[in-house]
Amino acid sequence: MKRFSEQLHTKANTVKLQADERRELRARVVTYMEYHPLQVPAVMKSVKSPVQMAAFSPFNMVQIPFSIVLKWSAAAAAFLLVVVPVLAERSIPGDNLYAVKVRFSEEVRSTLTLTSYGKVEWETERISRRIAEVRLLANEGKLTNEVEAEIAAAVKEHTEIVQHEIDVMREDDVDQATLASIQLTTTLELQSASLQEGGNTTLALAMNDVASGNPVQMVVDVINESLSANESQVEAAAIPAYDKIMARVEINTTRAYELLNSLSIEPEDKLRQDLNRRLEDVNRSIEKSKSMRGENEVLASEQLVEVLQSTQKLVVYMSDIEANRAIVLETVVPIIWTEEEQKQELVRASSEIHRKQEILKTVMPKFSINLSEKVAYSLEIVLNNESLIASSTEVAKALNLAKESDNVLTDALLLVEASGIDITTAVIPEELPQATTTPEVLSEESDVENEAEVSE
Amino acid sequence: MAGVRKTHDIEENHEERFLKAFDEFNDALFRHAFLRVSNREKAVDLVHDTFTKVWAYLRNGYEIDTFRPFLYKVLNNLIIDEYRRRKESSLDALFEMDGVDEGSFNELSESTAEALAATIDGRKAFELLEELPDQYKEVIILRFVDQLGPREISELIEESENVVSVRIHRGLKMLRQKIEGQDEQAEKNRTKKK
Repeated sequence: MKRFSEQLHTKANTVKLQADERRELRARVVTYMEYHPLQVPAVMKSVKSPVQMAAFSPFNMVQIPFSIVLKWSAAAAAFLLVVVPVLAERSIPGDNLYAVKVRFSEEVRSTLTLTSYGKVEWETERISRRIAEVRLLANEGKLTNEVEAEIAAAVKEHTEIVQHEIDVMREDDVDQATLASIQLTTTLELQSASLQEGGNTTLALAMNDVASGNPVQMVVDVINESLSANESQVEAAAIPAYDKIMARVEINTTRAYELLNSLSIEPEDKLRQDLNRRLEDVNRSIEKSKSMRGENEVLASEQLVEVLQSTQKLVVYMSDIEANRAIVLETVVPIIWTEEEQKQELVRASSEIHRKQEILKTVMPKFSINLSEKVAYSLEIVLNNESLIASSTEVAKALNLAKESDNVLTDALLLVEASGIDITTAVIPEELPQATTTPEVLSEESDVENEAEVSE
Repeated sequence: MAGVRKTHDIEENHEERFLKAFDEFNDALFRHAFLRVSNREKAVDLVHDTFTKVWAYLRNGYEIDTFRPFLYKVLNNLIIDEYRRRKESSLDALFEMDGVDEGSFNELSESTAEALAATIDGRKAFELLEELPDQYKEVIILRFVDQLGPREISELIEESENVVSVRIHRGLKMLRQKIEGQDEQAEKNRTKKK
C-alpha cells in the first residue's frame, strides 16, 4: 500500500503545467486581479459560525447602513417637500392635496415672508386664490354650502391677517400701511366684482337649481364686509408720499409686464392687445404724474394712487386670466384716452351728431306737434352743449359733452321711429366734416344748424 | 474549511499572499483537475477560475487563513459543475479511452520481475484512474495524488470520514481488479503472439 501510494504519487507528479502554460495562467490571474482590485478593507465582513451566533451576546452590534438610510430618506423628503406641494398647487377644495396646498405650501410661504408688506401682499394673493377656487368649483357645479362656508372663513382669516399686518405697519410707517390698504381694497373690489359679474352670467347658468340666487353670496358678503372696513380707513388716511407710491407702482408695473409676458394667450388675441393698451395707459399716466409733480404734488400723488389701483387691478386680473376673462376688462380698468385719441373721438362724435341732426331735419315736416316739441328740446340741449364744447379748453370735457349730445340725439331718433316715421329714407350719406380742430368746426356747424332751425 | 475566518490583521498584504498561494498550488490543482476532467485545456481553465473565484472572495473582504483546503474546495465545486454541464460527453470520452493504452502496458509488462511489478502497480493504477467512477476517482486522487488526510477529504467533499475510507477502499479494490484484468489480457495477447 505504501509503495502503491508512492508510485501513484510519483507517476501523478509527471502531470504538471508546462512552463508556458503556467506563465500564461499566471498572467491571466494577475490581469483579473488588476481589473478587480481589492476594495479598501474598511469594513471586514464577519462570517459568524453557528456557534458564535448562538452564543449569548448582551451587546449585539447592529450596523445601520447610514448611506442607504440617508439616500432613501433624502428621496422621501424630496418627494414630500417638493413633489407633493407642486402637485398640490393645482388642487381645489375637496381634493386630497388641498390641505397640503393651504396648510403647508401657503403657510410655509407665509412664514418665510418676513416683511409686513410682503405678508400683506401674500395674504392678499391667498384671498385671490380662494376666490378663484370658489369660482372654479361653482363653474363645475361642485360648490357645496360646506365648502363655501369653509372658503368664506378662509377669506375672512386672510383678510384679518392682512388687517392685522396693516395695523402693525401703521405704527412704523403710515404711508406704507395706507398703500397696503389701497392695494388690498383694490384687490377686494375686483374680486367682489368678478364674483358677482361672473356669478350673474356663468355661475347663475350653471347653478340655476340653487334657489338662493348667487351661489357665492357668502363669500361676496365676507369680501364686501372687509372692503367697507378698509375703504373707510383708506379714505381717512392722508395720501402717502409721492416717492413711496412711485416705488409701489414700479413694482406693480414690473409684475404686470411679467404676467403679461407669461400669459398663454395669442399675441393677436384681443385681450392681450387690450391689456397692452392698459399698460401703455399706465405708463402715460405715470409720465403725466411726474410732470405734474413740480406744480402740484398732491394732485400728482392722487394721480399716482389711481395708477397704483389700475396696476393692482391689472395684476390681479392677469393672475387668474382664465377665470377673469368673463369680466369685461373695460369695466375693471377703463381705457384712458390720449389727447390725440380724444381729439379723434371728438371728430367722430361730432360728425355723428351732425349726421343725426341732418336726419332729424329732413324728417321734421312729418312730425306731430308733440313730437316736434320733444325733438326741439333735444336739439336745444345739443346746441347748448355745442357752445360749451366750443368754449371748452379741455378735450376730455369737450368729448364728454359731445357724447352727451350724441346720446340725446339718439334718443330723439328713437322717439321719431317710435311714432311711425320711417327715418331710413332720410339717411344722409355719411361724410366726415373736413374738420381739423373740432371745437371750432363744431361751433361753425352749430351756427349753420342754428340758422336752419330758425328759418324753419 | 476552517481556513475562512474574519481577519484582525487588515494590514496584511492580500495580493502577496494570494500570488504566493498561486505559485505554490497551481501545479497540484492543475494535476487534480486534469486527472478529474481528462482535458488539459479545461483543467487550465478550471484552475484559472478557481483562483479568480478565490480572489473575488478576498475582494469581498473575507480573509483566508490557509489557502490549500480553500483552493481545493473551490476547484472541487467547479469540477462538479463541469461534470454536470457535460455529463454525456464525459462518459463518451471514458468509453473511447478503453484499450487505448494497451501498447504501453505491453511494453511495461515486459519489464523485469518484482521491482517492475511494484512499479507497474502504481503506474497501472494511475493510468486506470480515469476508468473509475468519479465518486471513487475523486477520493483516490485526493488521497494518493494530492495526499490529503482522510479528515481533510471528508471536510472537502462534505462526507463523513467513514464514507471517505469506504470509498478509498472500494476504489482501490476496483483498481486492483482492473489491473488484474488487464494483466490477464496482456498474458493472453502474449501467448497468442507466440
